[in-house]
Amino acid sequence: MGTRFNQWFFHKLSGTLEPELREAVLGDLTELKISEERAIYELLSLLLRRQTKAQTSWKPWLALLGIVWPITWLLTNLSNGIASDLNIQALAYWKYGVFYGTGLTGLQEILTFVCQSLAVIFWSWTAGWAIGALSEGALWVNQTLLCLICFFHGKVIYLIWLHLQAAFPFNHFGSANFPFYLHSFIHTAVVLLLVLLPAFAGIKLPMRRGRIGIKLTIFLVSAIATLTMLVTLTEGWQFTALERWSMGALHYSTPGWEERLLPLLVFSWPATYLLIGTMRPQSEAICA
Amino acid sequence: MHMERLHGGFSFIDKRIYYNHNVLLIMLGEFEYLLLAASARLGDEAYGAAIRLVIENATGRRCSIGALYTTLDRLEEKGLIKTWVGNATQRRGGRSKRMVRVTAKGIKAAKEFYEVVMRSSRGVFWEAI
Repeated sequence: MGTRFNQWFFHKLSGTLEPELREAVLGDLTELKISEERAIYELLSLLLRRQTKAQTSWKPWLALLGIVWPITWLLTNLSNGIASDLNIQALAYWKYGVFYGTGLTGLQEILTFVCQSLAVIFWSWTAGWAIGALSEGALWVNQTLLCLICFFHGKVIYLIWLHLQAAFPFNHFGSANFPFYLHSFIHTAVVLLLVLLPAFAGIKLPMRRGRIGIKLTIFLVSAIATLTMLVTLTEGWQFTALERWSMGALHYSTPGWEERLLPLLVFSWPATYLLIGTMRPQSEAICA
Repeated sequence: MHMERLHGGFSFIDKRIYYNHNVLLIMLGEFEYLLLAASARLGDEAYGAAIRLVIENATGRRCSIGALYTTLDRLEEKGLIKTWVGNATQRRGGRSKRMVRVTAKGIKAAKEFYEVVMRSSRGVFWEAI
C-alpha cells in the first residue's frame, strides 16, 4: 500500500520536471540504486530548490499579483453572475414552466448571455496565456492558486461538500432539494467551462508553441475588444430593463458607458501583454 | 577592467569581493568548486550520477540530486560549464544522461578559487592550532 502510494507520488513529482531533466534525474536515481523513500526526498529537495530560485524573479510575482489573484477572482465573480442568471431561468422553468421575466426581450437575453460568456472565455484564455508565459518555474504554484480561487470562490467546492451529488442534479428531479443541487451544478459547470478550461488551455500554449502567430494575436485582441464593447452595451440593457421590469420601483441611476467599460479593461491587460509580446522581435520575445 | 560576477554556492565567502591586480573577482561557492573539480576529473565521462559519486567519495558527505542539479543550472547560466543530453544506458533504465563539460571560463574560475585557497592557507598549520 505504502509502496504503491510512494510510486504514485514519485511519478507525480517527477512529472513536474521538464522532460530532459526528468530523464537525467530518474536515470541517476536508477543508476545509483536509491531507495524509493530517499528518491522522493531527493526529488522534493530538487523541486523546492528550483521553486525557491524561480520565486526570485519578478515575472512569477507579476503573474500571481497581476493575474492569478485579481483577474481570476473577478472572472469567477462574472461567471457566478452568469450562473445565477441561468439558475433563476432554469428554476422558473422547472417550477412554473415559463422563463423568468427580467425585462429584457428574448433576443436581448440571448445576446447578453452569449456576449458575457464569450467574453469570459476569451479573457480567461488570455489570462491563462499570460500566466503560462510569465510564471516560468513557478507555474505549478500559480496554477494551483488559480484552481483554488476557482474552486472556492466559484463554488466548485460544493461538489465535495455534497459528496458529488451536485454533479448529478437530475437524479433528484422530484426532490425538495433539487433547486439546491441544480444551483451547485450550474455554478460548477459554468466556472469550469467559462474560466478553468479556457485558462488552462491558455496556460499550456506557451509551453507547447512558444510564440503565438501575428494572425492569431490580431484575432484574439480584436475579439476581446469587440466583446468588451458588447458587454458594456448589454450591461446597460440590464440596468434599464430592471427599472422597466419593476415599473420604476427599482430606480438606479444607470452608470454611463465609461463607468461600465473601465472595470472591464482590467481583464484586457493580458491581451495587451500578448500583443506586445508578439510585436517584439524574436530575440526579445516575452516567452521564448 | 575585466569584471566578473560569480554568485552562488553554500559558502559564506562566495559573495565577497576580492581585488587582485585591478581585477575584480567574486569567488565560487565551495560546492560549485567541488562540482567543477569533479567534472574536470571525469572529463568525457562527467554526468550527474558520476559527479555525485566523485563528490561523495571526496567529501565523505551525501550529495543530493537537488543540490547537484540546481548548482549545475547555476554554473551553466554563468557560462562555467556546458551541458547536453547524452546517451541512454541499460544500467540507467534506458534513460539519458546530462553530460557536463567545464568551459574555459569555468577552468579560469576554478583555478582562481584554488589559488586563493592556497594563498590564504600559506603558513597555516591546522594541526598545530
